[in-house]
Amino acid sequence: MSDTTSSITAGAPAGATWGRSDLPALAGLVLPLAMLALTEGPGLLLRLAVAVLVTLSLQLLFTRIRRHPMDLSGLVTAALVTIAMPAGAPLYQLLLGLVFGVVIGEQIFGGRGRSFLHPAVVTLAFLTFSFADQDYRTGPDLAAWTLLPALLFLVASGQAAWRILVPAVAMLLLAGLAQGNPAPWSPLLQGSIVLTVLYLAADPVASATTNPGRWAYGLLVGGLAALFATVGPGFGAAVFAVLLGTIFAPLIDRVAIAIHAYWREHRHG
Amino acid sequence: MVVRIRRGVDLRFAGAPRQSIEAAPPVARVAILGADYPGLRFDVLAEAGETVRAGQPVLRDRKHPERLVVAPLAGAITAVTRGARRSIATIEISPSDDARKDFTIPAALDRDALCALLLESGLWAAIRARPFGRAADLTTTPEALFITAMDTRPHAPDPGVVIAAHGGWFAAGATALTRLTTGKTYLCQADGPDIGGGPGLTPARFAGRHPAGLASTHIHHLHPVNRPGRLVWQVNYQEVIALGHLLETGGIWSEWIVAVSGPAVSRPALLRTPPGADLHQLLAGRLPPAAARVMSGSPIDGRVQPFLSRTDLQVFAAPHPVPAAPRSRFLHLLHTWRHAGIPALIPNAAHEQAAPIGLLPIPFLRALSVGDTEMAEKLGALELVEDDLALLSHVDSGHTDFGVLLRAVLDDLEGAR
Repeated sequence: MSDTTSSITAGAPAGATWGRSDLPALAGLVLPLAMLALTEGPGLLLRLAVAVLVTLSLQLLFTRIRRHPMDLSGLVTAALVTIAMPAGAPLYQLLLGLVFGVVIGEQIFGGRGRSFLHPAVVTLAFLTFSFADQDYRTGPDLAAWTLLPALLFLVASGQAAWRILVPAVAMLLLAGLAQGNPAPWSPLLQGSIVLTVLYLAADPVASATTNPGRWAYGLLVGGLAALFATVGPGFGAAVFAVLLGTIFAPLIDRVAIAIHAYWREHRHG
Repeated sequence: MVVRIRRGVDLRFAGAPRQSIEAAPPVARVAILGADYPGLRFDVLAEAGETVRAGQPVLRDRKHPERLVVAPLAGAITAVTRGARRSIATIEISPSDDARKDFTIPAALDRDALCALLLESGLWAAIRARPFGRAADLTTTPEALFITAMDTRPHAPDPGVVIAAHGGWFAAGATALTRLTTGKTYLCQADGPDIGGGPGLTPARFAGRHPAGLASTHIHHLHPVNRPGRLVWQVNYQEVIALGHLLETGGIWSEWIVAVSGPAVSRPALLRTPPGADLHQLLAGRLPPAAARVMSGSPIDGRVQPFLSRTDLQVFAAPHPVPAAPRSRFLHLLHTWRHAGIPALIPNAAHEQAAPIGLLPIPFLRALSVGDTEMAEKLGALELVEDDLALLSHVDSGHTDFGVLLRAVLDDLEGAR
């Protein structure tokens, strides 16, 4: 029904049109990729090509076996991992990391929307643990303003929940204040951290799915990121905070559901 | 008291109806639809070829033989078609004259007499029990009765306009209905001028976007039915007018007021029509020469079918989508990959906006998708019926009808009782 009537509707929330689309996420990554390509040169494009080839082939393989619909979320994963990789890292590591991340982090659970982790997070965690010779924790040198289009597209399309972004950012600021940092907003000036918060922490599939749960999850991710950042680079800290946060997200939702069910049971006597 | 609903979605479709009542073109075919009586099995009392009067019984419920379904108009029965497992699909009537069955209205209308009249006149189907949303068992007594006199679905007829045209009958019907319950009878209406009604009614006002006008929203705020043992009944305002008409004139009401609207309809307006009217005949002179999809129901929950459903007060017509040009082999392959199977649920802010009031949408939809009856009940399935998930299904755009999944869960829960 919606395929015929959506074209004649006004007043529908943006998510009705863009909620399932990967285009807002991809459009938001164009500027960061372009800025990195300017500083890094053609090596980035080669990495991107390899990453896209790997993610799309794996997606195609699994969706064909399972008779599931194919989407373009693999492109987003490929672009995110390409941005996060250090320039000198060998391609075989990229390949291994992506295969592990996409298969173990997403496809074995049935693909995007049925999994509980973001494949890019799993990829980066795998690479950090496996290859100590490369610095996977520092992240790209990216200006925060290059992520402004991404913020706009993701929030406007209803994909990134402000109920996650606001508490996560607030926790980062608070932690900075508590540590006596004269510029507590400094983590938010790093594009790599903003990218992690926007794309990985606020991923609609992997994050908490109830509104109260989103607040708690945002606080948890922001707090963990600030805690981990005391002993290492901010980008690596944020990625591992997201990994832990998304692992705990189903538990947070479970608690939110239990409280909600109790409220339901006890309202109106 | 005004309850303000902060969430909700105001969908705007082209071709909104003018809120004034016009005469409809004569309809040469009406039908009684088996689908309007889900879960019931009937004996046929009048076979094809027979002539019936308006109000004459045509079907009788097998389990509750006191429940009758009556002919909406006088005429000849032209066809009785059967569906799955010999259930009744349609009984088509070709209207001829205006012969009608006169019901005897007892002078002292107590609860038993009213129930007998409801059963005899087919109006028992108007009274829906919550939870589960099926036709109420009139031997039970609800804790409260809800008269729904507002409608926030896109292009719905304005209940204020309809009730203004039949204020006397509405008041008579509403007053009679208060006898059915020992508790309150709520008259749920939009915030604005008073809609009328009679003594013994408790007015309740709701403001906001859809789903502010759905009965489930009203029941959720005034008398939630999420716990075992709770029971309320719900009646729509035009059924109340039909009851008032029956009480005042002794005959059934066959001039329901439905909105005909949509981008394919010229001169969209409110029309007087018998329930079960042939939709294309009802829209005669209003449709374009090109083919149109005509739906019984609103643009968000309508179904393409030849006749108007008893529960629908809207007819929506949209042009047929232009057939896609033939694709190359490669593009065809991409299209097949893109649209294979059932898409997963991707949480979005739109779900929160379109969810029924007081529901956690994503956990609830996930519970429905995997058939987790226990979790769905915990999250509030008992407070909902199919209509409540129409908006969610619409904005989700994953082509999953969550209403169907909800009904499966409700059937499970009802069976376990």
